[in-house]
Amino acid sequence: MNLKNILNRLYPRKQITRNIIKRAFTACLAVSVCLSFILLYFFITNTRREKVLGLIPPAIKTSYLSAGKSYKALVKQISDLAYLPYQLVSDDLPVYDLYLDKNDLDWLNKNLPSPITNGQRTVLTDEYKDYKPAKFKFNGKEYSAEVRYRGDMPEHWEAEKKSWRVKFSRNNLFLGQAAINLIIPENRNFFNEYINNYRAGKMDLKKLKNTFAKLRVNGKMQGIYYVAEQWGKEFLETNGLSGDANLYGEKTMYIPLFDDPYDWKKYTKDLANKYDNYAELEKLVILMDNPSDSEFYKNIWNLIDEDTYYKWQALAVLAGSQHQDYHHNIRLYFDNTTGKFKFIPWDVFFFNIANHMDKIGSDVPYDYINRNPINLRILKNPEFLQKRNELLWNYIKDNKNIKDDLKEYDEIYKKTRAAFYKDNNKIYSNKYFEAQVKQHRKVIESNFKILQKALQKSEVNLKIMLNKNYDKGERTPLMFDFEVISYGPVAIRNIEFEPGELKYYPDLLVYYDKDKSSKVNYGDVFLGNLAYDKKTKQYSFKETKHLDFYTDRTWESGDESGFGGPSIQQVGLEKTDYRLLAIPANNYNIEEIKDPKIKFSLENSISKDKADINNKVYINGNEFTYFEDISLSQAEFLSKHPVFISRGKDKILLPQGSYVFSEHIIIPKNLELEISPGAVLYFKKNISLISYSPVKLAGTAGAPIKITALNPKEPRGVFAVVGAKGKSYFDNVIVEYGGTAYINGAFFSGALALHSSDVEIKNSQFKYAAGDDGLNIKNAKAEITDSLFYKNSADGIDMDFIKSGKVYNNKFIENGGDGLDISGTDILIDKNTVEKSGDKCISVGEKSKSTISNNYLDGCNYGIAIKEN
Amino acid sequence: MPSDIKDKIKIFRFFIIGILCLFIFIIFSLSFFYLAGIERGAVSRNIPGSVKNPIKTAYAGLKNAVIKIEDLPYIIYRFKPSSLPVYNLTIDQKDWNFLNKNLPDPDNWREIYYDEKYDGYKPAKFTFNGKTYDVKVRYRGGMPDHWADTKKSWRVKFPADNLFLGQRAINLIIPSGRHFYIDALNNYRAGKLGLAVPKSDYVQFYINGQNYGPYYKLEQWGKEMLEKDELAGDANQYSEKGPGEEVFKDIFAWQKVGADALSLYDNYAEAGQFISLLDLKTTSDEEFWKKIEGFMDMDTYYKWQVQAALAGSIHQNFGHNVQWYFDNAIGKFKPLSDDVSRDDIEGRIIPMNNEQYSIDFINMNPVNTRILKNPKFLYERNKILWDYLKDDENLEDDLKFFDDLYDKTKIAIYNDSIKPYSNAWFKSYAAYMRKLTVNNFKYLKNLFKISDASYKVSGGKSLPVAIDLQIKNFTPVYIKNMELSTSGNTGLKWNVYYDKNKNSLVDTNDAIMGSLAYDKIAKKYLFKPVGRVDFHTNREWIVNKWSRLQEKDLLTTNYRLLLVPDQSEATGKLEIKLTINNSITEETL
Repeated sequence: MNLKNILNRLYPRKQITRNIIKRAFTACLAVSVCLSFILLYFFITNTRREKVLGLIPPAIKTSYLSAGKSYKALVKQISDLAYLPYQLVSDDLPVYDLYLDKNDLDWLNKNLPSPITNGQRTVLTDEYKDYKPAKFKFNGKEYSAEVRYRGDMPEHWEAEKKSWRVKFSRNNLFLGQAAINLIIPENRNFFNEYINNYRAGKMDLKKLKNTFAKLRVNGKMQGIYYVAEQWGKEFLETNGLSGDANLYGEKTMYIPLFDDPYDWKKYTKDLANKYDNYAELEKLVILMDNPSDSEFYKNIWNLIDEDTYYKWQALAVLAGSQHQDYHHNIRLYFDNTTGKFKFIPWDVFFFNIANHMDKIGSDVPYDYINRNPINLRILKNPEFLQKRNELLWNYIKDNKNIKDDLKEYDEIYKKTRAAFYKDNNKIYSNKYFEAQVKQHRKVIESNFKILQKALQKSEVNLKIMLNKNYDKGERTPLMFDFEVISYGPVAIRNIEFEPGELKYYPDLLVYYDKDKSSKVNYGDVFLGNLAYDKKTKQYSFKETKHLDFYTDRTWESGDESGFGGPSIQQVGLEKTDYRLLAIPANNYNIEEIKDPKIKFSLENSISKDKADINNKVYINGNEFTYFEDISLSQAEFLSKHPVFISRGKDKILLPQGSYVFSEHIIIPKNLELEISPGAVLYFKKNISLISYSPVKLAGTAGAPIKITALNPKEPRGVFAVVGAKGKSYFDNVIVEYGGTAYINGAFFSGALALHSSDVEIKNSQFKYAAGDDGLNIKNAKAEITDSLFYKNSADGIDMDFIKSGKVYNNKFIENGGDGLDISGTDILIDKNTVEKSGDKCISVGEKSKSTISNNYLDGCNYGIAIKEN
Repeated sequence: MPSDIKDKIKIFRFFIIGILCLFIFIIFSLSFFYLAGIERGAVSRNIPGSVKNPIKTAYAGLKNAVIKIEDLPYIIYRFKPSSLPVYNLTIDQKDWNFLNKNLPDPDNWREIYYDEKYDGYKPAKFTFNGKTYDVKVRYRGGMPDHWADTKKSWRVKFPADNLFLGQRAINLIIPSGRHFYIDALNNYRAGKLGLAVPKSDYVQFYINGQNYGPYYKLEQWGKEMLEKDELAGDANQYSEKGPGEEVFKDIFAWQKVGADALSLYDNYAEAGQFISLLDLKTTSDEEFWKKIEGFMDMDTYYKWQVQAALAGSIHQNFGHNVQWYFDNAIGKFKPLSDDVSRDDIEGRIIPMNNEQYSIDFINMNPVNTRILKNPKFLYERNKILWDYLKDDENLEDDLKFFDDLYDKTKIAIYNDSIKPYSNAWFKSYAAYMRKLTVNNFKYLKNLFKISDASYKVSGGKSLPVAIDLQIKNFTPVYIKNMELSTSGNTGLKWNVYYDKNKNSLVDTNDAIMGSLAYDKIAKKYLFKPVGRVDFHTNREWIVNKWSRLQEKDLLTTNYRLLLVPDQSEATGKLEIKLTINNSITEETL
């Protein structure tokens, strides 16, 4: 049956009314759909709810809320029907009876503010905190009392079931308590505060007595309450503290407490003073205001009891809580026997750490120190944070603790649930209660596990720099750069280092290079020795001083609370670098390490678990020693190598003469080199000349230019031209006793090497190359004519990717590999003589398209071999 | 009206009302979530799989049905054979099941990337042209579009001693994953520019006998690929380890795709050197510019950057699609093109004007911003870019390549019944990609032509004469010619200087640009240039919150020229006329 039919039956003759109803219905539907679409848009775009709600006029909001409340109450009653049988079940909870004069009760109910003021939730201020006389009865005993509603926020007093404070007369305390709070349980997440207090007891923190009880007011059952003792002398004395000392708490909410002493009130007073003395608070505020961290760190534990503070903070972290913050829930007891403040937990609350991590997109929780300036200040110090975390770890390392906490949780739940079910005054359904209890239990467990995992987890990356050269050939053989990202610090357990073959194995001294200067200097910390064991052929570490690698935290400006809290907040962990140096003892100069194996054993300083190294890379610190030289100006070059002289702008000359080079020569880019006929260049072992500019070596038959080793038994490095913009010339040049070299990231295997540099060579000789090839040319144009390649250890010429040029009328005699080895090369190879090569006379590989004609080939293993396409 | 028709109408009405109610219910629920302060992600996460999965399946089924209906007109193509090469893969069903299960949850942002956690290869047989290879396979691709649907992207690894057409490993990528023809076009352009790129092609792929439609085949990076491009295979080639890390700041974010065999240990020296050189805190711009040429193969770098600019792409950025080859023959890095992708320069990049995009197409990559902040280097890049753009034949050739590939593959794509989109969508998307190619080319070309230059002459009576040049141009400009007319002294020689510090005095650092000598025939002073000075338009630079250098915009830039006579006095009225040319296109402004 459709709407029209229904209306026809209901109002058969009232066509007009029918139409009105129909239109009204359609309009309502249309408005609802429109509104829903708008809300859907906000939902999809993740627009902040508060922003949207702020736009709704208060009148509409209030009517909407009251309609919502009635609807909610109805749904609750229907939903609770399933729990009716529990009305018949008895519970063992104590029942407190409160009797007030009806007028007084009415007055208390009227003397409450509107829950919303100017679109904000109203805070209960002092004018609404007047007491009224009452009688309190329990277990047949009657107490004269004064009562009022309590709780700063509207949830405590806007519904029918309200939170109470009951004050007893000094001469007739209630179970030793001068005042108690009867708090609606949902405000303390049902059992969470109870568990926080239970944990506080286990951690030896002072805590308020707390329990659950039922309350009747003038004979009418109000339901179940969380009962917590009120702050006061009796509380202190029950906890073994002097009752005649100052116990501070916030006066009201939303005012930064640690900025000045005005916003504090005293629950108890030190009787030693005749006037109301706030000296210790003043001192704390001044210390907080001191901009010097070192001053603060030096003095803070003279004013705050360190052990209690860490425990108080650890308890909050377990609850994922920052609820004891800059403006509320702070209880500071000043112990006048020690002259120090002690923190006492209050309304710690519980938050889901997993949700928080999800929100900030982090894999680890942060330190839970935001929103409270004293936490931010103290725990910014990594050593203090370490101590707090050690204390936290002591609690969470043992799974028995979580089992015990959950057991306590389950027991209090079992003890109270019937009372909850029977509580008809509560504003939520029993299903909601059940779901919340289940959810909070999960959070307690999950927080514990997340923190446990976080304190065990360490991420370490390690960069090992080998053979770093500095000043005049001195070398740091090993440099370790650690990158640490770990909730707790990481420390070295052992270092094992196999250096490979070396001449000497001196002890290595390991330093923490504080300023990352790569040199040992004042302020660096000696950590221990690496000593070599001949049997195991490895070094192992003997620690002298322990070093913890702390992870810095990332800080951001901004108020996390959004209500005028601290303007800085910790937002995560920041990768933190540490550098260690291992230098030879007694000024030994260790030779280059070529094949090292290094193993670090690291541990998490808190959990003592092994800390894995996620990434390890090696850096050859030697590879770019001469990198700066590529960009030297002409003047800089000449000043560094005075044997060269200027030959006008951007040109240098090595005049005729004999030269011995004992260090690498780097000819910079844009600086052409010319060598005069008759010049003889002697290079010491492995020493090279690398030019980044074209070179011109124009010798003559009578005065050839010679490039040779100082000692033929100790081959030199290479003479190389790399990436030069312009053609190089070699005429009447003798190149001998060359080797290989690896300089500035480029590897050279030819006694004369030309990489990406065009060249013309004639009338030259390439002999006795010891490392690899006599001549090696890559990616260039090349012409080689009338030259001799004799007894080179590998190939006479090796040419790769030469797209234009020729090899013409040369002699290749007794080379160890090929006479001529080409790959990817398209040139003319004509009229050459190749004899007695160890492998091929001519080897043609990798897509070469060269023309090979008129060559005399003899005595090689192969004449011409063509391989790979 | 017959009662059965009435009944049908009633049923239809109820159906419509039902759908409407369901729709309203969903809308109400979502708006309730909003009012209740429940976040979008939380709603999605908390919908149980038993509810979510059937909805997803139903949605996929519905979508598929719609695609099938849409594709009905293309049924005639079923009878036309595809000319693409056919690859066959045979894989044990258990192994295939493993691969299908060993995938992240596409809805979980923490696991969205296909990292080493899922990097499990399984054995298979690969057959092509009657030859069978024992291969190892896995799925590939960073984002869920590569592996969340039925049609997935694959990597096939061949044995070292039995390469497949000289290839050690290939990627078979869903065509939409590389915007159909864009990657192939980018690679084609790379070839024209002389850059090394992996070989690519389109193939028809069968798995266990079932046709999975056409795939974009791309050779995987490696020694064999490098050697085909005449680069040493035994050299270090680096890429990002995982997406999103700041590769150019963190050595641990690099990994080696190929390794230099020279070092006995896993040496990252050049990567370390590169990172330290790029560090804004420790290396000044001047020092960086001085050294970078000794460390970067600039020719390759410019071409690589030009290829990206042509595509309007910033896809090779600080954290992904990083492929840097270190050529150990010259000790320099050569960037390699990887998944260059494309963007809409005119439609998106320029209008967005946010920090991702810049007029020089260099943001998001700290190597680009650092190098091309130097006007000299930018000029070199733009010369190569202009070389490509100035010739419309290049665009025609690119489009021909695009069209040929489209013609070659379209039937296979029409007949692909597994793809998650309709043929109409494919056609329109391909057409859009083609249009983008044309538009980007034209936009870039036009960028070289836009000119904004003016000058003001001051002085005359008081010497020297100053010419204040104001420019705001994509490219630099230079003074091609200058004429000076005067009613006064014609026997002077005027020297023209570039007054670097704008103090109206000739200092040692000022550059001589030429001189003006009186020409009796022309009856005016004519310009004789000595050295050309290119006047670059400054850019605005910022360092963003991630400490990355970013280019913001062109800044109006002022330069001063000085005209200094060889005698102390110049009399009469002076009239000066400048001819200003675009330094790259040589067009007169």
